[in-house]
Amino acid sequence: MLDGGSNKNWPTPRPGPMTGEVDVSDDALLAQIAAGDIGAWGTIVDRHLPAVSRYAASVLGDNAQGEDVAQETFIRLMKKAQTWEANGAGLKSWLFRVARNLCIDHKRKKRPEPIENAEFIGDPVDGDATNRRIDIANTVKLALAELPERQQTAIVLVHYEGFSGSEAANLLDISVEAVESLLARARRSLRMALKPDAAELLGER
Amino acid sequence: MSDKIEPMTLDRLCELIDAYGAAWERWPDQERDLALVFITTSAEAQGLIEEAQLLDAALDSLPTPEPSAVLRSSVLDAYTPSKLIAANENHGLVTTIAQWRPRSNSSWHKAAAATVMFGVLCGVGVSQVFAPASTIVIVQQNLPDFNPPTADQLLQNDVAALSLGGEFLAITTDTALQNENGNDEAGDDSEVPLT
Repeated sequence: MLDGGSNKNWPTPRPGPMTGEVDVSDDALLAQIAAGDIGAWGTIVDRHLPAVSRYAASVLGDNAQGEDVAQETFIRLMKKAQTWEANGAGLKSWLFRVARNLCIDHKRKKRPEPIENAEFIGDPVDGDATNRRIDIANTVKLALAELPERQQTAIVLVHYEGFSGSEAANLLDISVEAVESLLARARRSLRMALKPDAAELLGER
Repeated sequence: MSDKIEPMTLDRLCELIDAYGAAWERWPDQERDLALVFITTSAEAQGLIEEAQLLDAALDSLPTPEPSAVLRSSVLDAYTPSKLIAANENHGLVTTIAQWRPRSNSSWHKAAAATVMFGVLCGVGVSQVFAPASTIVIVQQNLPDFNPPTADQLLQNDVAALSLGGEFLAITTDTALQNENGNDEAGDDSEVPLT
């Protein structure tokens, strides 16, 4: 029962730089970047770009816009490298804070584009199952887009990017209790929006 | 939630599940073990977990948008030590624009690129129609009174290439923009002089 849910496409918590072993600290890498070490830049990019890009794409509901935000975030990091202070909240928090602000700037009123490409969720054997999953994914995407920005950010950080409650609280400049409240309200809204599709998805298991 | 570890209660477990869902990996470290023990003794708690798994499953159905290879390479290419120094000396919009490298998978980038290409093509077409005879010369080879220009004349007119196609001799000029020092301006578009 307590297997972390049926994470068919998005295992949690996400393995990799956020939770895995880190040989060189972000602060040390930033010092090397400031000194002109291009290899350190590559390490930082590979360590954090995927998560920042996923976050922005999820919040904006658009992969291309998400990648624009991710690129701009790293350009700002490059500017910041020479004045980076190691005693701050940490690079991960800084990157997501910048990306969040850029996402707010990018937010438009229009609804996100629907998912048409079944590349990630396609079932090569069962076309009907693929179509059902695309429908469910579209419903989830639209339901996420309807959430208030802070609830949306909290869900994406904690559910999809493996942030702890305290890490999300630090990024949002609120208490852990407030983060839990945001998450609970977000999940309540999502549950209402997704109830029919969630039941269908569970029925497939 | 406080730093002090308190006994797990059904109310607190409800709060955890409401906030973090059924996946215990997301629960706060300091409360996880107590919550797991509590669940084994409470049928009501197990029901809450099963209910929360519905929503988790729906959320997990969203595909993972991994960054494209184009994005990774463009971010990697954005870094050079000289640009890093420039970025710290000039925090203005010009530097940002200079370091911005549009990627091909963004729809508005594609539209902008297509517009630029269309403009260039239109410009070339118009220039060939209205160009003075000294810059583009097309003559039939067998004209009896045709006097080909000398090499000096060609150089004076910035001739870049001679080509012979069919029965026409085409003399084209170098289309690259040149500044007052005679250097091509079409250089590295990512470098902007610092003022």
